[in-house]
Amino acid sequence: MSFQRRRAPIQVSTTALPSTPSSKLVTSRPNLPSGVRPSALNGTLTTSTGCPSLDAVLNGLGGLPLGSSLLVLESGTTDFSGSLARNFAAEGVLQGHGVCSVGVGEGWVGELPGEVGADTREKKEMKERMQIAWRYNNLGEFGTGIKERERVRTTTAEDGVAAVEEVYCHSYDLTKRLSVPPSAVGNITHTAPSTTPKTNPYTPIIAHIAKLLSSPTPTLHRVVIPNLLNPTRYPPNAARSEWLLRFFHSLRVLLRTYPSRLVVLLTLPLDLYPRSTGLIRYIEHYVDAVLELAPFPKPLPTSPANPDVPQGLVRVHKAPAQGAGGVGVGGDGGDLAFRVTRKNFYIEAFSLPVMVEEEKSEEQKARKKDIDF
Amino acid sequence: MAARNIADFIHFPAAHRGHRASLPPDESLVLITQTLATPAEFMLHHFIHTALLNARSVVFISFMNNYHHHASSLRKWGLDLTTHKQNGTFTFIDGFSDILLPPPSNTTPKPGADPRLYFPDPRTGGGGGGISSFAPPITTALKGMNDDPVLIIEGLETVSALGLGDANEVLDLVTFLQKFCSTTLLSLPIDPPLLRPLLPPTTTTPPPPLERAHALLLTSLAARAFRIINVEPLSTGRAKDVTGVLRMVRGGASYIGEEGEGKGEEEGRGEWLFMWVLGGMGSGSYTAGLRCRMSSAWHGIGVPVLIRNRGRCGGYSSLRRSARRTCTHEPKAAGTENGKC
Repeated sequence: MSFQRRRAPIQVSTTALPSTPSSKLVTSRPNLPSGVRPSALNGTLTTSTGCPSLDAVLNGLGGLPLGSSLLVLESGTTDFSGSLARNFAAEGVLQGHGVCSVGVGEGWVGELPGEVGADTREKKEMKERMQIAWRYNNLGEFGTGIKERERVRTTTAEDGVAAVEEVYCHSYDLTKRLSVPPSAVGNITHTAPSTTPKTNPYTPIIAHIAKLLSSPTPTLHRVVIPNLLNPTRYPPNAARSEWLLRFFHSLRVLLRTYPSRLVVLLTLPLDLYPRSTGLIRYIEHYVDAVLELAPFPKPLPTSPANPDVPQGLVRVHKAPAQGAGGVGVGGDGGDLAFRVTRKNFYIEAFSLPVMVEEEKSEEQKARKKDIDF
Repeated sequence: MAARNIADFIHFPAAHRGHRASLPPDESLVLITQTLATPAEFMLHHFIHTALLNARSVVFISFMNNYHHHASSLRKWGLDLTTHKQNGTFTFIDGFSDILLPPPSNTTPKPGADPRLYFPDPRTGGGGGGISSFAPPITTALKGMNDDPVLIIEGLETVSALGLGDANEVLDLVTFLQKFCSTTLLSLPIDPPLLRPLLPPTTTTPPPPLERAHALLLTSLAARAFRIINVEPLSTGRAKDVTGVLRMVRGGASYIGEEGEGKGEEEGRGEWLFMWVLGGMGSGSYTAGLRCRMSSAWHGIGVPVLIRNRGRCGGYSSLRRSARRTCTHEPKAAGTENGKC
């Protein structure tokens, strides 16, 4: 299985054969919008979610395929999915995609995490890559088992003059604020559900997205819908199954009609709408990928041995179809856990931490003294 | 255990006793169930592929995806749908893109375009017929095929979920369409949250109408089905090399008139483990992308999570009545009855 012969496209010079309409002579990389690359697995075009370990978890595709939607469910009162949404939007801003935020107010875009350069640790990693035996390259970082594909690719322009650095996924810092490049200001839009009673609250959202897609630039649009069905932003009738499902249906229609121009990320808090209801299950059928974040109710004990302690579990309930009706969630059967730090949102393989004997506290020692008369 | 294709396993009893057919017999309905973790699109594609290879004509209605999505998937199965459309052996009816819109005022369709289903809302007045207006374009497509076509419907549950019609109206539509085609295949999801109305009630609040409609649809179609194909994840967890379980069982309709049949109905039952091999370079044709491995035993498992048909009923209509009665008024414990009705 590991020694599959890769059939590379045959490079033929353009002058040798007469050009026929059916043959494609691959002489240069096709022109993709920035931030989009073909997946290593089966070549479907994918774009980064802003979080490299999430890219790696998405069924091995290395990103979210164009024309698909990702639903992030979160149980509890925390907002870890919000950091995923922010990374997603920030990635879109920096890549020059159109970013549309829904239902969060105008100021949400101003709070996106700022970009930092690639840290020196990664540069050292790239140098050390040559020294590891090639067969271990697929294992990824020690203990995680998840391989993160390289995020930076340097290409040289055709005449070999300039070296253009294409970054697939930027690094972010949650304590900094994103400075929006002036060229991208026009790409950022915002919409909200309508609060008129007795009408479908989602029609302005769909109309806005359709209007965005009707203009040819920017080529790729990212729609971010954090905290769907949040009672402070969405009217009470937004949870009516008929209208909510029609909204997801219309979203799916837009995604299928413009398969290379739209990606959608939604987050939904599970406390009000648990997964055991049919409505949420229908929504999960409409969406292309479903991820659930389940934070631990109590933080796991940290010890000097493992300072980075996961904060919750990640469950992938539905993986994006691999462009051709792929099936199944995959995964190696192990659990995944997430950890949110200032720098990033890490998803790693989860194992219970090692039990360390607790030292007796001072109080217990004092009490013991009192008992001994 | 050698890996083989779906076609090696999925068989139906043929007209001649003792033979096997790769497509269901005439005037039968086959229900394909799926879950969130194991979508069954590949089964629908398998039947399209098999039918077109056996020179049968296919009418494919999709309420969940558009033509482009299926065409690109079926291309990997080696099927060129455009030539089949030109030959008149394949028709795709798009019930997805414009289903929420009323029918356009100019009713002349573009030549060569797939027929689309529109929904004239009966509530807005203007004489809209609701779901029954889906029937004419579908029946013209069915009648326009060369011979008795195979009708494949994807995403039927969304018609009632979107509020376009009652579950009973959807069932009536399916019954009506069955008259014009030789065999019908449907796919429905059966995730546990959607089956809550079938279980004993745990709370005093009744289940919402969305779930009730889904349960009604499911039980009625399962009772009417000749065979039921379940695509489910493993019940014991996840494994690296197995995506799920593919199981084919007899549906409610196969028990009608069983007294005389006996052994003929044994064909086409079994349970297999399947694995979806992520396509990579050099993996060969895409039909090899789904490898089924025979499990160690053939199980005569009954309908897994649904009620059993309640009695030896002579006719089709009484089966349906009993299914409906059981679903809405007496939620029974699911999954425990096996074999005996």
